[in-house]
Amino acid sequence: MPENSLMWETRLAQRCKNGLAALLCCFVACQVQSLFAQEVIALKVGKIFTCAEDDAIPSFISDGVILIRDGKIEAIGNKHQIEIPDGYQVIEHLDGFAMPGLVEAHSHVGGTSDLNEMVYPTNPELRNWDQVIPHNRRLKVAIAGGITTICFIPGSGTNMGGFGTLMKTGPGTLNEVILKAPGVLKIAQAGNPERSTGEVGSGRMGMNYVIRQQLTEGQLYVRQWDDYERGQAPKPEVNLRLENFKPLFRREIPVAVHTQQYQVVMTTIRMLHDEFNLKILIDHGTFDAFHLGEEVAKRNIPAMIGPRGFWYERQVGQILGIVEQYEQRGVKVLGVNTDAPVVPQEELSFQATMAVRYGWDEERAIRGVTIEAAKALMIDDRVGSLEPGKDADIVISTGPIIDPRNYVTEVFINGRSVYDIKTHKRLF
Amino acid sequence: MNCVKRIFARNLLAVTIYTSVVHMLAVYLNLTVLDSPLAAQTLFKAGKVITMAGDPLSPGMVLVNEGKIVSVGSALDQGNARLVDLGDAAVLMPGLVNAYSQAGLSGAVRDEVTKEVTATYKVDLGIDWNSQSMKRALTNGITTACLTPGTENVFAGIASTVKTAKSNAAVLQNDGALVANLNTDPTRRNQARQRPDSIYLRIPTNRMGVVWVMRSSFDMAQRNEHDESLAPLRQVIAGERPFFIVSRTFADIETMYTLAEEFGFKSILVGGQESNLVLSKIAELKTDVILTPVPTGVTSGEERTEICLNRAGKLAEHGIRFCLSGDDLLAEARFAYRHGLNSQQALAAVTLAPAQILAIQERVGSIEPGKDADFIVLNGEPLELTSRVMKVIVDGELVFDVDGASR
Repeated sequence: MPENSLMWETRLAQRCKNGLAALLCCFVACQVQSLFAQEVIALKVGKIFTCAEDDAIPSFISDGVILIRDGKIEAIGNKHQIEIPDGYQVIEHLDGFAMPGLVEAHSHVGGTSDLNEMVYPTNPELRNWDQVIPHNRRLKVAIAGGITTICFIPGSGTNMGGFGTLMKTGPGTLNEVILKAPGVLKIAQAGNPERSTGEVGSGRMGMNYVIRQQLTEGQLYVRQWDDYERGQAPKPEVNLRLENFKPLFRREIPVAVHTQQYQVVMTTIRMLHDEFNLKILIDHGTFDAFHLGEEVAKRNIPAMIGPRGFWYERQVGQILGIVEQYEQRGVKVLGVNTDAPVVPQEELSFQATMAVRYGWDEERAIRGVTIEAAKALMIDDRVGSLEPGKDADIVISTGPIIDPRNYVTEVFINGRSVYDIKTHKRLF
Repeated sequence: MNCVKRIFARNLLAVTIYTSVVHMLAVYLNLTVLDSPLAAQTLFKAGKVITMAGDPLSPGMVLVNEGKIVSVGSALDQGNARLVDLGDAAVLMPGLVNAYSQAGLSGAVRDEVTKEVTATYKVDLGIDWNSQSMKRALTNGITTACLTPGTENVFAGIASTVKTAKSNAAVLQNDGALVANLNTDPTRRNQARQRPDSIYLRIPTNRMGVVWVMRSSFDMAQRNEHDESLAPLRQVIAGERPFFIVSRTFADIETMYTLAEEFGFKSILVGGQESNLVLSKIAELKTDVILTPVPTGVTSGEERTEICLNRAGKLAEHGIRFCLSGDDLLAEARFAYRHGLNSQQALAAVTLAPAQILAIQERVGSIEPGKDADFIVLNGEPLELTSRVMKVIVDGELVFDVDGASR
């Protein structure tokens, strides 16, 4: 349940009530004031893996310093480059390893479990940000695994499950934790949404038919509005059911596509990317779909693989790591997912670890659960790397998180420490 | 035959003359009653009177005329009034007000399960004053109840506020609040993937669908001004009709505010099982809350809500106007008191506060001149576990007496 400013106020109220009212109130008030004053933090860390895209910032920094102001990264660099100004609260992890907070591209644990509305095959009117429960029980555990941002999406019970939410895992009000809503559209192209009640959609041709029909309706709607906004058409009537298609067809948010197997991923690429010109991310991409890696790479489509990470390739009699196979075929925006709670949310780093065990590069794996996932979700301007201007979502661990012997020691979200094994019980 | 007709006509004439005379006499008598008001007055006297408007009176007296309270005090002049001495051990307090009740409404009356939006449906014609639930409400001391449609629909219909002791004549608010359900109850019967011809093959089957039904209904109500079936939705947006939203979980209560912002309505929160997690917002936006009973002997509440025993106390600490509801309101007040609400607030939460939330405080909720003479008589302090409702008086008339009732 949300342990946020409300709870803080409640505690404050309780303290006031429990006697010593005036004196204690003054004391607490001073503390609150000093908390605001201290929103400048200097983090001193042994090693930093920045995941930075900007050439000015190296991937690795030894003896690093991160300056945080108002929840954002102010500066990052070596201790000789960055002088800590007066008044900064200094937090030291001199033996620690810092990396950006982990970003989950496919999760269902951001709130209540209302995942599938299975009456109609397509449901673009649905949205799940009303179901968000900030800092809920599962997210608290996820933070201890280093996860700071998740893509919270409806299920794959229908071809179009609704619009999902990009959110932080930490405490706060809804406005504070929701990063982007609508964040993604969920489309499922095979498997789960197959229907058996006599409607269209028992097979893939039927399912593709209803998806195309729904997207066409949305596309026409957005075109009418675009024409109007360019002054080329009269003002169309608002259709609440299709409103969320606007950011989608304007390519401001992607489609998170439940798609796997060669043929289905091919359909995803051809229909959603090539035909409808949508931003998409392949949000499973498992089984033999990696054979399409070149097609995916050519279009620079992100692939967030999981929860299954391996494939038995009959012809060669070998078990292959799916992520590594995509990598070999040149896919750049590549990562893993948990599909939490299918794989527990806190085990996102293990998904990357297993991909490394099957041949993926370790540095690419760290980027895969941070900046590449952020790029796939189109929020890399906010999260995914440690660069000035971005949210101060920082994971401190005993070493590179891909090595399962390492563990998280402290997590910052928006510059605020939300998990610290010195004060919290160490979960892993 | 003619003879019979003649006799009948003559008698009819006689009867007509007779009734006219009686009627005139009655009018004359009434006038004299108005001239000397004390003639038909009743003075109730009890060891203690809890008025809910100032400190309790010991002893206390309440003068009643034609069902209305005339004056309240420790020592009133009896004059011509009939004295009803309830005894030194008796505690007289206002009749209890249940702001969210389904007494007298059978399932077939309160739920329409074939559609989600039944905003104009009213419970009023379906109220069964002779039902066990209505009688139990009265014997538990509930003299006024806001009867609401059930929780199976997203927009369930229109509530009526009534006196439990009377019949149709005693409806306080016939065309009351619009009741909506922002919870998973409307999804309970609906399921996909049954027989395609099932009436239950409909959305919503989960919260996303409930939110959509609510949003699309408000949207349609605003677009189609002539759609009378959605008129109550337009009225709640215009602030012309009270709006009950039944929500229990943190997420649903938050959603209530999200939608309130989108469509510009103000609502009264009913249920509020996890309202203790949204305290600041409820206080800041001055939302009235009608709490439903806290379940005991279970690890979580309805819809897997967290149980907070001192929910009422927390709302009070934050200055939120709230009331308790339930079939046994005194038991609810005792429970809240036992877990942290103070005694004055616990009593207010079942009398004056619900009356204020229902906007009927001019009529009921406290013992003050001008209000309806609705009282309950207890044989001890109301928050004592051993105290019982001995008598119920509505509009100045004794409607329940434990001595004459089989329990």
